[in-house]
Amino acid sequence: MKHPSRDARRRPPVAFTLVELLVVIAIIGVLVALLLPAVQAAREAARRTQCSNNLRQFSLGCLTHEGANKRLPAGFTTMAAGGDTHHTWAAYVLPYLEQGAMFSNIDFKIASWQAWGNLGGGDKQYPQIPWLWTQLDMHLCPSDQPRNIHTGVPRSFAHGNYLANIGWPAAWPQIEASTADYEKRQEALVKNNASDPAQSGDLRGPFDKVFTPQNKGLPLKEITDGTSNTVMLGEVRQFPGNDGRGLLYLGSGLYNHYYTPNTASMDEMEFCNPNDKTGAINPSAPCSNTRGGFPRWTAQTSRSNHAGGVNVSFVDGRTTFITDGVDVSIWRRISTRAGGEVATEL
Amino acid sequence: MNRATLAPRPIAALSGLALLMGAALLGCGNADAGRAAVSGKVAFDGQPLPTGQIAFEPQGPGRFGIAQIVDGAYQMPSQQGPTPGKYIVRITADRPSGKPAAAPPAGGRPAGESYEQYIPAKYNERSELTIEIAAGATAVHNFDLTSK
Repeated sequence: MKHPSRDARRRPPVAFTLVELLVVIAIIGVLVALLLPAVQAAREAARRTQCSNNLRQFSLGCLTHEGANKRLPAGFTTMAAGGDTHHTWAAYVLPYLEQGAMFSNIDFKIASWQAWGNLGGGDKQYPQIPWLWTQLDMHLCPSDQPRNIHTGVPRSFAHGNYLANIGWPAAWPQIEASTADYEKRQEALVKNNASDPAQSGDLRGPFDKVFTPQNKGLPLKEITDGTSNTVMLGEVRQFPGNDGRGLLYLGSGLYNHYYTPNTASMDEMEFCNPNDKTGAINPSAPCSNTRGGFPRWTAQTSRSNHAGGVNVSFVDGRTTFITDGVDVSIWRRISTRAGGEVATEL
Repeated sequence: MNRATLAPRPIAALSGLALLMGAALLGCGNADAGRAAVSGKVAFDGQPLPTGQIAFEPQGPGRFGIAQIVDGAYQMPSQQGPTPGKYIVRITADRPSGKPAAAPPAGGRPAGESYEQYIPAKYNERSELTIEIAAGATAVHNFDLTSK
């Protein structure tokens, strides 16, 4: 029998010491720690690409609509009597997104919300009207919320992450009592304020309310700023619960360029329950329902879950990423259809 | 002894690792650097403004500073604050209009109570209020608004 200590002195020990093991684990840990953010960033980059791809599909849908009808879809139309919301661009564009079956499910004789009201309203997703609540893959940005996060009335209406650009009025009323009121507001959106050039110009975007039940959107020839200088669709965020941000088929299915992207400005919606004016629930995006009653003042800022900016698409079909730090005058300029400016700095 | 000769090397490796991790952490800059934290009081005709929104809109390059007014005071943490530069101040607030909500449109959805924005246009749409934010500051700006 050999002496153990003499044996050990002759050859190096075969086992690891505890310290060596810990060092290896630490090294692996550090390598993973270095790699993990890169992997996560790559996953977010992939989601962002998917997100801008959906946006582009929507834009092409709007342009195909223009090709077929010589007009963009109307931002939203109004009922013949009373002037409440009839249907929105998100419904008119469906046949051009290969959603013909869904489109044929829509009864354009009645308003979008009447289809829901006639069946009893509430928070139900009625099987007779799947078009009203179905969230298509194309509606959703993978960086933002999953499906089925809404409660209350907003649960009955589909939400999406892409809305149409109404320009940069601070807010817009969903209902106007008469054509005269509507025309007066349209005139007020074309401002000529010599003392404050930042407040001058045509504030209107390529989508707006049309005061008729007919889908009379804007012909491209009226986008005199140029299709490549005017934003068509932009990203917005959805929020869980009884929250109407992102609603596609009501008069809030538009967004405005008054504030720069992702700014902690107060959105104004018909549905924001409880009223989150101080941002207690969503500090980065407070929401007020105070003016959600007649005439339903609405305002929605472009937001996203991507780091540092939002995707937007221009009327020429190009999609691009715009950073949160964009100069507010440029952000407003690219939202107008006939402001008489060209945003070359972007 | 073997163990004694092995010991210094892991320690060197560990301290190297510590350095590496330190260096990795140093790379994380603050994306909101340069934005100022602003707070203050807002009064309307001498009374604290119950609720409202205050926005600092950049004249030229800069970041929007936005905060909600509660009980006459607002606090803008640096994440929501403005960067150095000149700003137009816009203050808005709503209250019930008192008028009976104009007849809900025939056949429309029931309309709720009607509210109005009651701060005069010289404080929001055509604001005459301006402030200047200095670099890296924690500023206090108070505003006394009048209805006239």
